[in-house]
Amino acid sequence: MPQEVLKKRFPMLNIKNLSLSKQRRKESIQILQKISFDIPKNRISLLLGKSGSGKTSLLRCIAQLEKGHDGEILYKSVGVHQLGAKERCQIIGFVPQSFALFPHLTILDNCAQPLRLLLGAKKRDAYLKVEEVLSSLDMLQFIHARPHELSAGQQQRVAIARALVLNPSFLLFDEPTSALDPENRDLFIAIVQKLSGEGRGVIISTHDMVFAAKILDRALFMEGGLIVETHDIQELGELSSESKLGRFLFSFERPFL
Amino acid sequence: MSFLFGIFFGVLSCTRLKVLILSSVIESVTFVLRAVPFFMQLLIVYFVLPDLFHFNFEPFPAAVISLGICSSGYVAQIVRGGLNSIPVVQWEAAFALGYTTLQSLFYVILPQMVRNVLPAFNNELDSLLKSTAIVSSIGMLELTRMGMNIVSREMQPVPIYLTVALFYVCLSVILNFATRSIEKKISYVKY
Repeated sequence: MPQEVLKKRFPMLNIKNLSLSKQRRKESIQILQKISFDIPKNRISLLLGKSGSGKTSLLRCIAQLEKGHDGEILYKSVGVHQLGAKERCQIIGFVPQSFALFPHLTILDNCAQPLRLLLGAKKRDAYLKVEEVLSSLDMLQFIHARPHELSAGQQQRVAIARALVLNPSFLLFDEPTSALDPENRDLFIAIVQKLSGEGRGVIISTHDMVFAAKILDRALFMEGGLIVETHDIQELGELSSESKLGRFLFSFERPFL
Repeated sequence: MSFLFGIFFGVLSCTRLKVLILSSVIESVTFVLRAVPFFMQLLIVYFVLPDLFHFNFEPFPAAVISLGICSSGYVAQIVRGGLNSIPVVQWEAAFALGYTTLQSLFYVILPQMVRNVLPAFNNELDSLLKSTAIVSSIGMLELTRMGMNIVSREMQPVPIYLTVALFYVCLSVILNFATRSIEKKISYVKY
């Protein structure tokens, strides 16, 4: 199939020349340096790298949370920053590291409020939709709880549900496993794989190598505000220890192999 | 009224929501409101304003207005602190879910803020209640003035002033009960 047709059938998020600099104590620091890459749907893209390599900043730029970034983020040839809130949220969903559930609302309202405010859904319809999404994540029994009554893993699933009710094509996760125990981490992997199986693009920034090794699909290795390597891998064994990602992974004690 | 103005001012001077010129104007206005003593403000509202603009003020509206704008300065500061104490992630999460700035403010930030600043609000209400004693100086008959009148008639300051003080305590108790019950009602985390 020619490239153009492929692109139309499987639209990607195209990131072009994305750069970001911040002022810190009168010094301008270049955080992202003209990054260009594509994020395909129905794949899991892992952003790997050391702390400070720009993983989180890149995610935040894609989610439009960073002001003053240069470059373009295109979906179906339209810049995401030009879109209204409604269209933007149906392309990109963002789950922050701390989940940021709204503490004054129940789980049900946490998920239903965006539906009602953004899409103008009726209360009943919104609740039905939320119940559907929550039951797919096996969270239906907590529907009337408040966020603080839940464990970290449960809070994360609520945050995923809240992002999912708006039905975004791409879901961004910032350090999703930092607060999770191994059991919840495996549950999260199952959820993410289901999401990408449904045809959504998933982008995860992480430095949790155990987690990364388990989920490996498409790995982008970042260093100093640049994506230095891109790997399409199904198994760690395929990874040559010559590559930077390989060296980074193998620099650990291999508890996961 | 003080709370209406105060919340409005406070919201506009919160760090996250800087509206260019307006915010700095409001910050300086509320600064002046906090810097000038309430007694002075009362005198200005009751004597200076009517003189400058040629109209007449009844003592009661003058008292209400000056009490209102005076305490709005303090409330603004409370609100500003309350808003700044809400983690930025909450704003960002709301943005990522497509909320507009106003929607995030009303549905996400303010409900959390009110819970955090209710004790400070209670404080402000208490001091507002006690400031009413000063209003007697422009000839309004309120609790303290009433006490003074009775004292000058009966010549028995001890029991009468003590009774007046007790009245203030009673009013405070009512206020405290009210804010406590609101606090309980809107608290979402059980301690």
